Amino acid sequence: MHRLLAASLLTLLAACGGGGGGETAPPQPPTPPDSGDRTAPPPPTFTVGENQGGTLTITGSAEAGSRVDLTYPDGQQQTITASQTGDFGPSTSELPQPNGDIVITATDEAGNRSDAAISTYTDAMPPGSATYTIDVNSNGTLSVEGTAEALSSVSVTFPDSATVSTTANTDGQYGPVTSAVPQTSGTLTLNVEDLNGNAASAQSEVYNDITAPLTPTLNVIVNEDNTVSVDGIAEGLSLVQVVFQDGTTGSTQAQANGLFRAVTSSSPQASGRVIASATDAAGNVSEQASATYEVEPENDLWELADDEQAQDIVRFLTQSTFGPTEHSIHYLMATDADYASWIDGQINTEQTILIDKFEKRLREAGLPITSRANLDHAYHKQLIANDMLMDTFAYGEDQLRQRVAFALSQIFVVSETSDTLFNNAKGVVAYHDLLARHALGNYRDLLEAVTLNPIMGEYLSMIRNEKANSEENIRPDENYAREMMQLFSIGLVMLDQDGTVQLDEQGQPVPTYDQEIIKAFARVLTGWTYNNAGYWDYDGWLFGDMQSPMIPFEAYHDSDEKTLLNGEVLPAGQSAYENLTGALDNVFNHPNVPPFISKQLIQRLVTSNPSPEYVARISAVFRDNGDGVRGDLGAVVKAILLDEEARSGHLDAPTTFGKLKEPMLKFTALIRAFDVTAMHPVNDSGALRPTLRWFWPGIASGQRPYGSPSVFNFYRPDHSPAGPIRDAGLVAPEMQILNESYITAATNFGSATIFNSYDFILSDCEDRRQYLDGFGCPYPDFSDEIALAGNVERLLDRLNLLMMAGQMSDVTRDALTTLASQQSQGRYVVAEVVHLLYHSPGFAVQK
Amino acid sequence: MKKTKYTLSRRDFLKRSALATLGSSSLFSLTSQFSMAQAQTGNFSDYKALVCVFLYGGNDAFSMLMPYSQSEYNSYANTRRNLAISRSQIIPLEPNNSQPADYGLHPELSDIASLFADNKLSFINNVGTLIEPTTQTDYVNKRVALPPQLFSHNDQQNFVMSLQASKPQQGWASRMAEMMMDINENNELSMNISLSGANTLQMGGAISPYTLSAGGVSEYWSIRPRSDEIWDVNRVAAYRKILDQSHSHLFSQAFADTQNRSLLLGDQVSSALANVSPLATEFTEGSRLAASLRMVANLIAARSSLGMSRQIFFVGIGDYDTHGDQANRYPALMRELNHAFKSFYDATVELGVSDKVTTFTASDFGRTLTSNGDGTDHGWGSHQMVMGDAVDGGKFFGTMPELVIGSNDDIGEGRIIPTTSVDQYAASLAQWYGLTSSQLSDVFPYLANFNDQSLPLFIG
Repeated sequence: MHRLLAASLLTLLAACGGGGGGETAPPQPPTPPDSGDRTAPPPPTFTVGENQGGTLTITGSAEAGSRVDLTYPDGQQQTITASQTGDFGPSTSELPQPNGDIVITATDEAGNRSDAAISTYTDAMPPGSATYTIDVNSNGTLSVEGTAEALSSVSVTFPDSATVSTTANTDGQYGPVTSAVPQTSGTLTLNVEDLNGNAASAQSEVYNDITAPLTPTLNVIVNEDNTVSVDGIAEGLSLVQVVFQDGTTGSTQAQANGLFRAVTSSSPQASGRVIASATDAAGNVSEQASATYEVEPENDLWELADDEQAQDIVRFLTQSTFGPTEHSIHYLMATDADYASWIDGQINTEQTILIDKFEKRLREAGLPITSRANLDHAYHKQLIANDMLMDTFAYGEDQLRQRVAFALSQIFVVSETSDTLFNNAKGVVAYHDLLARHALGNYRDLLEAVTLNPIMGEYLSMIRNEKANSEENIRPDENYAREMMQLFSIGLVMLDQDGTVQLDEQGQPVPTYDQEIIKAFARVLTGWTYNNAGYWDYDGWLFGDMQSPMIPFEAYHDSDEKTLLNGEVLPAGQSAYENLTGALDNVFNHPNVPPFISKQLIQRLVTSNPSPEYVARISAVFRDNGDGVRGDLGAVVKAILLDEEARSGHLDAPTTFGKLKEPMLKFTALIRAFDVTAMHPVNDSGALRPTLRWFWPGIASGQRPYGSPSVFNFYRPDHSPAGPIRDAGLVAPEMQILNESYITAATNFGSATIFNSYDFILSDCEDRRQYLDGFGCPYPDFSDEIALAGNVERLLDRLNLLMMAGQMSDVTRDALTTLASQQSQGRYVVAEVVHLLYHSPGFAVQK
Repeated sequence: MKKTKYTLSRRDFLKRSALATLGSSSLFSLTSQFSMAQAQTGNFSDYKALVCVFLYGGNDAFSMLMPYSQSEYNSYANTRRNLAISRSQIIPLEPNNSQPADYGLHPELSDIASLFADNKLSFINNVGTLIEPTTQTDYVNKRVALPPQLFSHNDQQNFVMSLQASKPQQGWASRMAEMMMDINENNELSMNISLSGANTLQMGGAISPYTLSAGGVSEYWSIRPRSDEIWDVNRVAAYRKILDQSHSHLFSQAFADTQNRSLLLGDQVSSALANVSPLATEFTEGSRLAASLRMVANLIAARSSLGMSRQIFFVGIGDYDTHGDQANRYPALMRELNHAFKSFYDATVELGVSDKVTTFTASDFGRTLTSNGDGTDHGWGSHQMVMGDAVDGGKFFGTMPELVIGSNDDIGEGRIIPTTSVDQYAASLAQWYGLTSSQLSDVFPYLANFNDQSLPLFIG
C-alpha cells in the first residue's frame, strides 16, 4: 500500500551575521587586479527555506553582479552570480542537510571578497511520512519497502515486535526490509527519523495473515522396525502435521529456518505414502504434500496369490499401465487398493517428454536434431524414435498417461509406413507428446491439437489444402475431413449413448453424414500450412516445421458459407481459425462422440465387448464430468477403470470378458514384471546405451507403434473373427492380427528374451548388436524368482499373481509343475516355467 | 483324383468346424495326418491358382490407363489439369478388340504394356462396387440399392472382398475355398494363403487363410517338436498340455487354435519351401510387393509337396491413397507394380505354370477425376488388370466411361459410376478357377442382378 504525504514547507529567516568570527574559514581572497576597485563588497544577506524532504533553499541579495559562494552544512558548495539588482537564488541543496552553518560570501569583479555571512541551521521539522509496500514472501516472512525522506532512518517493527532498521538512500528509496522469521497477523509499525533526529509520527498498519504457508518438502525414512520417520522443510515456525499410511498422525514445529525434525510413526507402516501439511500461527494451512516410500514387504508375492485384493490390483494394473510390477502391486496393496487416488496421482505425474529423450539420443548418436536434409538418416532416426517410445512405455513414471496416449495413437492414427511421413521421425515423436499431453485432458483440445498438427496434416493431406480454384479445376482435399469424422470423432452411423447402432424403420443404420457434409468440412479445412511457411507455396519437404501447429493463409481459405452436421451453418466471411473452431465445436457436440470415443477407450484398456450399460455409464461421464464439462478424458479414463464391470466383469462373464493382449502390451508386461533391460550401441563405434528395440519385433508381430498399415489402425474395433467368437456375437479387434506369421514372430521374440536370462554373455549378442539392424538383446532379471525355485509351489504362486492375476488354470499349473521337476537348476526352472506361461493361452488374454 | 483318408467331405468339414478343430486335435507336425511323401506322388496337372494383388487405398486407375486419342485425351487432360500425364509420355496400347478410342498406359508401365502386346494381360474397364446396374439418374433419385458407405476405405475394401452388404461379412475367396476344398489332397493347409495378414477376401468363414510373410515361414526358436533333445521333449510335452486343455475363455481358445495351427503348418510349409529350387527369375530388391510375389511363386513351386491343386493367394500393397503429392508418389507405385508383375509372370513361365496362374488387381475404389490441388480423393469405378497365359490377353473388357466432369457417368467431382460390377469381375475369375454356375450364384449373390454374369476374360 502506498501512502503519500502532502508537501510542507518551513521557512527560516537567517540572521545576518556582522563579523568574520564564524567557525568556517573564509576562502583565500584572489589576487586583486593591479588597479581599480579595492573595496570589499558587503556580506550578503539571505533567507534559508527548508523544503519537504529536508533540503534547504537559499534566497538573498549581494553586491550587484558579484559572485556568490554558498557552503551548505554538509559541505556542498555552490557558486552563483547576483543579478544587476543584487538578488541571488533561489538555490537549493542537493540533499537534506544536517544541522550546521550556512556560509556565504560575495566577490566582486575586481576580486574583492566580502566577509562571510553565516547562518546556523537547526532542523526542527520532522520528516514526512514514508510510503510503504508490504510483501508476503513465500516462506512466510514479510518484506517492507518504499520511499521516505532521503538519508532518513526507517525502522520497521514487525508483528512479532522485532524491529529492523535501514537508511533511505539519496533518492529516498529504502528497503526491502525483511523480517527474520515468518510473521503472523498483527500490527506493523514504521518509524522514520531524519538525519537530525527529528521523528515523524509513527505509521502503523494492521497485517492480516491470510497466506497459506509453503507446502512442506518431505523426506521419508523407513526405520529398522518399519516405523516411518518424516523430516523436511516447511514454513519457519509453522506446525507440521503428518498423516501416516495407517491414518495415525504426528506433528512438530518447524524451526525458524524452516527445517523440521523427524516425526516418527508410533507403529510400523506398510508401503505407501505420508501426507503432511503446515499450519502457521494465523491458522493458515498449506497445501498437502505427499511422499511415497516402500517398506521391504513382509509378504512375498507368492503369499498373496490367493488374496482377492492383490488379484484385482494385478488386473487393474494390466488395464491401466504397460504391465504390473512387484512394486506397483505392493504399493496399491498398501493403499488398500485406493485406485482413485492412484489415478489422481497419475494425472498429476509429470509427463515424460519423448522429444527430450529423442534429441538427447540423437546427440549421442551424432545425428542432426533439426535438419532433415540427409535422407540417409531417416531410418536411424526412426529406430531411435521407436527405441525411446518403448523406453517410455516400459519405464516411464507416467504409466496411465502413456497407456492412454498409446490407446489414442490407435484412434488418432498416423503411420510412418506411409511415404507421406518419410524422414519425419522427430515430428512423429512430437505428435506422441501431443497425444500424451492431452491424454487426460479435454477431448476438444485434443481434437484441435491433432487437426492443426503438421504430421497429421501431412498424413491426411490437410496441410496446404486450398480452397476451390475453378480455373484449375481444383477442389478442396476431402481426406482429413472424411477420416476425422469417420475415425476420430463420430463414426459412420448414428449411435445410441450406450454405443449400439441406431436403426431406421427399414432396420438400416442411419448415416451420420453424406458426401455434401464431407465437402463442406473439406472447405472448412482449407488454408493451413507449416508454421514456418513464409508463403503459401512453401513445400516444407526438408525444412517445414513438423511440430508447431499449422498456421492459416486466409487467401487460400474458403470463407463462404458452409452447412455442417445437424444443419449448423458457418456464416460467410469468417477467418480460417473461426471456421475451424466452429467446425470442431460442431463435431464435438455431436451426440455420437461420447459413445464412439468412450467405447473405443474401454476396448483399448479393459474389454473388447463392454456391455451397453458400461458404455452408457462412460458416455455420461464424457458428456458431463460432474462439473458440467464435456470431454474430460481424465474423468472418462477414471470412470472406465473404476467401473464395476472393469472390476468384476471377469466374474460375471468369465468366458468372454477382457481382450486379447495387444502384441506390444504383452511384451511390455514381460519387461515390467521381470525388469527386462537391454543395451545397444548408440552409434557405429559407440558406447552401449539402454535400448529396448521393438522396431523389428513390432513389425514382425503386427504392432509397431505409429506403424500401422493405414489410418484404420492395426485392427478395427468391430473385427469379429469367424467361429465361436463371431457366433457369440462378439468382437475381438486384436485377433485381426492374430495369425500364423505374427504369432510365430511374437513367440520367438518372447522366448529369446526369456532365455537370455541365463547363459547370457554379451558376446553372444554381437550379431544382434549391430548399430542399425540389430535387435538388441533384452534380458530379464529373474533373481526374485530363482530365490523361490527350490519351492515350485511358491514360484508358481508368485507367477500366478504377477503374470496371471491368480487366474492360472489347474492344467497349466500341473504342466508347469512337471516341467519344473525335470530341471536341475533354479535358473532353468524359472526360465522354462516363465517361458511357457508367457506363451500360454491364459496369459494371452487380459481378463 | 484318388481320395485318401484325410480328405473330408464338405459335410464332415462343416461338422468339425474347420481347422480350428483340426489344429487342436492334431498338434504339431509330428502328429500331422498329412504326409508330404505321399502327396508328391499325386496328380497335379489340374493345378490352378488365383493371385489377388490388392492396391490398398484406392488406385487412381485414371492415371494408370488413360485416353490417347487426341480429342479424348484433351477432354481428360482438361479435367485432370495438373495431374494429367503428358500425352507424349503415355505408352499407347493397341488392343485386339477394337475400341471407340485409343488408350495408353502410365509411362512407368512399360513391361505391362509389353505383356499386353504379347496377349498375356488384359484390362477390365471401370469396375466397381454395385448391387445392381446403376445410372446417374438412378443414383441421384436414390432408386437403386447401393453398397454401404461408398467412398469409405474399409467399408469398400470389405465390400470388394466379400460382395456382401451386411455384416458379418465373409470373403468370396473364403466361400470359394469352402466349396472347393475337397479338391486339395491336403486339408490341413488352407486353400487360401495370405502374404499380407488379415484380409476380408479370405476370411470370415470356417477356413482361415494361412498367413506367412514375404520372407517365408519363421521357425519356432524355442518350441521344436521334431527335436529329440530332452529339454525340447519336456518343453513340448508341457506346452502340448497347456495348449490342448479345454479353454473356457473363447479368446484363449482362439489363441490356442492359432498357435497350434501355426506350429503344425509352419513346419509343413517351411519343409516344403526348403525343398524348392531357387528361382532364376529376378525380383526387385527392397519392394515388398515383389518379395511377396516371389514367395507366392515359391509356394506354387512347392504345390505338389504341399498337396495343393487349387490355391488363392492374397498380396496387399499400401499407400495408394494418393490425396497428396500424387505427381511424385504415383510414378513410384507404378514402377513397383510394373516390375513386380513382370517378374512374377516370368517366374510362372520358369515354373511352367503361366497358364495355370492368373494374377488380378483389385482396390478399394477408383479416385476422382478432378484434382484437390496435388492429389485425388475417393471415387468409385476403376480399371483393373488380369494377367496370365489363360487370360484372353491384349484386350479391354467392359465399357470405358466418359472421363468428363458432368458426363452421365459422373456423380460429382469425377466420381465415376462403375459400368462393370465387382461381382461380374470376380465371378469371371471364379468360373475359370472351377466354380460351377450354380456355385457362382451361391458365392456372388448380386450376380443375378446383371445381364452379363461373366466376362470372357479367359481363352476357351
